Amino acid sequence: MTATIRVHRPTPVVPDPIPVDVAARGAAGERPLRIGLVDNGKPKARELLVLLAEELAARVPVASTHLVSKPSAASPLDDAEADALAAASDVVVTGLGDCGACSACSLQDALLLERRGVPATVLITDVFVAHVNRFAGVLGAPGYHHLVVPHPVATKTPEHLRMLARGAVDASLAQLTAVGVEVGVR
Amino acid sequence: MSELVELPVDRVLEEFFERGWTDGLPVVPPTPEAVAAMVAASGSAPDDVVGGIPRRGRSVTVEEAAVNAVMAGCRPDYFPVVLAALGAALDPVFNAHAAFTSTGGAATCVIVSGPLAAEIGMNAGANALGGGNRANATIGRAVRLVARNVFGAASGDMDASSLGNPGKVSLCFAEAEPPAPWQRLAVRQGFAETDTTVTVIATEGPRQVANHLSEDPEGLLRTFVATIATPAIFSVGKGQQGVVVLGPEQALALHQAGWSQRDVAAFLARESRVHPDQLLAAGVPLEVDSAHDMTPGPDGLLPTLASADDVVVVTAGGGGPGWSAYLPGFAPAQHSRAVTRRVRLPDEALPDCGPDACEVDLSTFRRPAPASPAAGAAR
Repeated sequence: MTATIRVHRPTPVVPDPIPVDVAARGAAGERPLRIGLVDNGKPKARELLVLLAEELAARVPVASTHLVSKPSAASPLDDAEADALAAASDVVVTGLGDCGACSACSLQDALLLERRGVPATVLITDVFVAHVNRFAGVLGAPGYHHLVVPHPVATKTPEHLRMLARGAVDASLAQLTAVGVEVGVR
Repeated sequence: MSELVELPVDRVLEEFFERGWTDGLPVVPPTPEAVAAMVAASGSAPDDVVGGIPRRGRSVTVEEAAVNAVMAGCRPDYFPVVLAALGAALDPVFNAHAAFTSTGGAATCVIVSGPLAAEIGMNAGANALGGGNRANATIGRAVRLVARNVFGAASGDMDASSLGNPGKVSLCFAEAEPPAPWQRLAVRQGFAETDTTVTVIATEGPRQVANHLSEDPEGLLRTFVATIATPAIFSVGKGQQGVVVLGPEQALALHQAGWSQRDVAAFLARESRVHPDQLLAAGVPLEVDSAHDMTPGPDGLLPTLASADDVVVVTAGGGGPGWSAYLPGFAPAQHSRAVTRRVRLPDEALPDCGPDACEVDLSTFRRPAPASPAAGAAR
């Protein structure tokens, strides 16, 4: 008979996170949208988010664009900032998740908005899809959606960024509004 | 209490590897007896919470830390240092959520300052940043095993390091007693001579700094500046923190020339500022319209070390021709900063309201009256 040894498991059992109830989506074009943008301060993040908002405005009525720039990409919004943005926005896009900490925190920003009843999504680069998916599970939103552009973004020209924004607009509408496409947590 | 599993004796190490519970090196099996001895050396209860990362919904108890400290190979008398290091790393100012995740691949650098370091056999001399000392190697390793096993800091989980650096396995050393009247880091930070502190900072790997031919203080420090302000370091021009490890010859040369440790920090912060052209000449574009403000100051320069307060100056290493080291912070200081905690000894009474803890006015707490004298005595 094989001798055995009792040892402590070094990875504690983690309690399930509080699930994120994804906000209800309104019909696109129902009323002019107030778009919220959370710029995490990564190079070209603000530029790409603003271009994406412009592309959205070319497709659906937009009432306003409200931009919040974070002082550090490595921290999510605090509750007061999320409250203020939620009050000023009908939909929110966060980004740019093009690194480990910033993609996790931009995802968290989007989920903070969802928890406040505002449809949101996070703009990331393709390298970080698996990373963001893992964090989504940890944060109570397994399978949460994201907008994906090719990595890297920081080196791209304004013309290239415009192309990336155009390429992401259909997915943005699908994820932020009810356009007949499945959205949110699957 | 953490879960117990029963494993075949001849397979226990393989099981730990296969389950992804190690850093790639063998571990000491965390038996209930070994873990209990580790917890007992802390003077804390097993279920006491050391700290957590609220953004991950995770925290670590004393017992969970002890499990990983046993695995790392710690002796029980190291454990108070491990707990202080974890307390510092889980301070929001350190921002473990970012430091344990960033593509930058930060090590969790642990610097121990004070009398306990020598008492538990830590190395501040020859090979302080190298191998061969159990306390240095296993205290740093215990912190990283907790990061991995409790907070998910592993590739394929929540660590997105691109390359990492060897210090991610363990990077821990003790400060050598500096030449008087220079003071230990802990004392400069306002702690008592009898206190031992742990300073934790998320860093890249160490760069060796060589100047074997000069005792001129400015010349020596300009050699450091050449390393500190290297454009290839991510945070040059963006205001970071860094650790300057002065070897004995260079510490002595600076000290004998009348420089204080503060003078050294101030010189390095001032002289490591860079002109944008230095970055551009190295092919590094300036960040524009980003959270890293790279607008030069009135003097046309950008900070590399955010300020003199952001330079951690310590002495360590063995005698030789004149070797020192520099460890850059992994990111600009706005994202993560060094945190210092005093080591609480197991026989110390609680609560610990020293300069490393919050002040709590206990008179504002209402204590429920015991139901009976017997119940009260049992508390």
